[in-house]
Amino acid sequence: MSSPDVVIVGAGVEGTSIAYALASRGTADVTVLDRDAIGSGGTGRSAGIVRCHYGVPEVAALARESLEVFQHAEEILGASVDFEQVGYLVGIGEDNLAPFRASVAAQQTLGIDTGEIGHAEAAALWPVAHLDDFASFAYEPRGGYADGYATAHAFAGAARRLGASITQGTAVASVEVSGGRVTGVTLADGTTLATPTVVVAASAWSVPLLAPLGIDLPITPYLVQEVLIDPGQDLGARPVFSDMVSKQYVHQRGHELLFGDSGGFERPIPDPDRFPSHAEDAAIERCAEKAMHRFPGIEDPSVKTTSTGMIDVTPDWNPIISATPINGLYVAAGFSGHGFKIAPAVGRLMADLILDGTSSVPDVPAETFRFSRYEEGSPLLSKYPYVGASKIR
Amino acid sequence: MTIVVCVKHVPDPADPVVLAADLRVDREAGAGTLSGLDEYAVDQAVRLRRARERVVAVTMGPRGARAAVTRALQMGADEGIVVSDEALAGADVLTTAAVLAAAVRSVGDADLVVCGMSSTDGGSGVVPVLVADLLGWACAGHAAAVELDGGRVTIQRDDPDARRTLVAPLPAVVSVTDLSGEPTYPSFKAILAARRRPVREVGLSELGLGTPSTAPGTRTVSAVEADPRPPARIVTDSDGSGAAALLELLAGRSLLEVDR
Repeated sequence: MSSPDVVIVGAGVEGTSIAYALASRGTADVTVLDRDAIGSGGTGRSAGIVRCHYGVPEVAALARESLEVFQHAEEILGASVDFEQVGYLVGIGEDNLAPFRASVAAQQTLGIDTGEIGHAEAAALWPVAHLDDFASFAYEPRGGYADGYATAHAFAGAARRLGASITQGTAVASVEVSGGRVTGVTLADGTTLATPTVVVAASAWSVPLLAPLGIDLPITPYLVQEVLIDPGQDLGARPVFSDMVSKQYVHQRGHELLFGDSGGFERPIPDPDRFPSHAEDAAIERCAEKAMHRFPGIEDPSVKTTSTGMIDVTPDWNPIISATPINGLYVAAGFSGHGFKIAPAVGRLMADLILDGTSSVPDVPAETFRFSRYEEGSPLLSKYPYVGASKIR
Repeated sequence: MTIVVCVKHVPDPADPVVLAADLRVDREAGAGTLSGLDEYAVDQAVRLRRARERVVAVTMGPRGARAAVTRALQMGADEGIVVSDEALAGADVLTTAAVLAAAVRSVGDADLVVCGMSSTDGGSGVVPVLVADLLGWACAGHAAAVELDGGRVTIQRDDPDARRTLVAPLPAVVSVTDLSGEPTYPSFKAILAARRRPVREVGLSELGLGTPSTAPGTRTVSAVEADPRPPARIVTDSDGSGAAALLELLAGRSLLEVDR
């Protein structure tokens, strides 16, 4: 095998986005390795929600930049990412109204197209919903959802056209280091690929890969469960709905509605490769209760199917996009269940970090997602936290 | 009249299998699920129930087995019985059948027992007929269709040579196949309604059964990994000879008779 300038471990949406960003900046000698296939991990199981409602301004800015790519994917990447720009609605309860308004104002300062709307407007967006227990709403007309798998393939295809190569079915066994700098990677079959630069973008699988190098990534695999509902009626195209009162998110996928729980029921699992393939009964019951409360206009919803996935959670529920103490070794992992909507900008940020050591992404300083923030005691937390909700808004 | 449906909680076939130290499948390793073939039994039992009748779902298994009864209630069963007892760990089909028969008797007015044709894990397929034998009832197995009519149960069974109609007087045990219907996921209303239905958890003593006195009739002596699948043989057709080569290959493995 040749000796590429950069090896990226993991062909998920982050790894392929990084490959594309590097290649489009002229570093085309990039090899992406994946133990399985493009988008076969968390990417292919992502709900694919696209929105900018974040209380961490730098994450909001990554989402804002990424939105441009989702919206113009065919021009930029030459392939569709199946982006459905149905809008994004978030409803908030009285208890979180103050941080919500502050967060929306901060998002507007960042140039994000969002604004508070009233009950009547929200009701027009989701006519079958019961909305009385919300205090207010925000609406992002440019939000929506895309397809994780299609997005990873679009990035991979665009990167390939620029000269990068994507090798699937090839597991990396170890990262080789000599004298404090990366020298290459050793594959599962024993062959070694020499390279001065390695980016590990392998979700929770990054942890065992880097542990032998003395790099202990604070990433824990968590189980996430979602339920797909057959509403039994045509609802029309409705915006993605973050319900911060019942703590659930809802979006259409074809004729079905995907329900996820944002009430903090994700739970750690010991092995990222072993988790139930279907949602557990308790999760389905929780979903039934919340859905029946929120959508009385859907007469007889039934479970179509359920899906599960693993997310790679960090202590502050924000990613590590960073250099490491080892020269030439970078990490893009720990996306904590919300990496999809920021992936296009993550690629650009990582390419900047590798090639310049700085960031060209507006409103996102290079050090924001540094690995060392945990041992410095400076976690990246929302400035406007919501009580009772998972920490990804 | 009460219809009892026997259900089994099995490891989810989509999950990786973990063997415990005694070589049995570690049932705590995954969430498990209602045996897919038992869904057809629940579906039939609910369909056969008439006004003022009830369907009781019965399972025997470790603590997590209650989930199988929960699913049956969501699918429309009225009540549940979970037989769980430390002494039943590793129970074989004979013990299982004895426990299920005792549970059926405990229901009092049961006159039809519906089972799936087989579990999706153990797969012996003999439990329905053993339960019938222990109860002293008739057994009609592998039904593609079931009807109840005036003290009789009638099933249609697709045998290799013919479709047979079997009639048995009640009380009786029937087992149903995956051709009997098309069970669907329950609706949200049904899921929430199921929470209010009674489930009785009992041990062996409550069923009037003592601890199984002898060791199970079967035990696992070894477990080995299955051989990996041999690599696929790819027949490439560049000159029109592909069809003949494919025929040759299939005939060589006795998968096709070639009349020359």
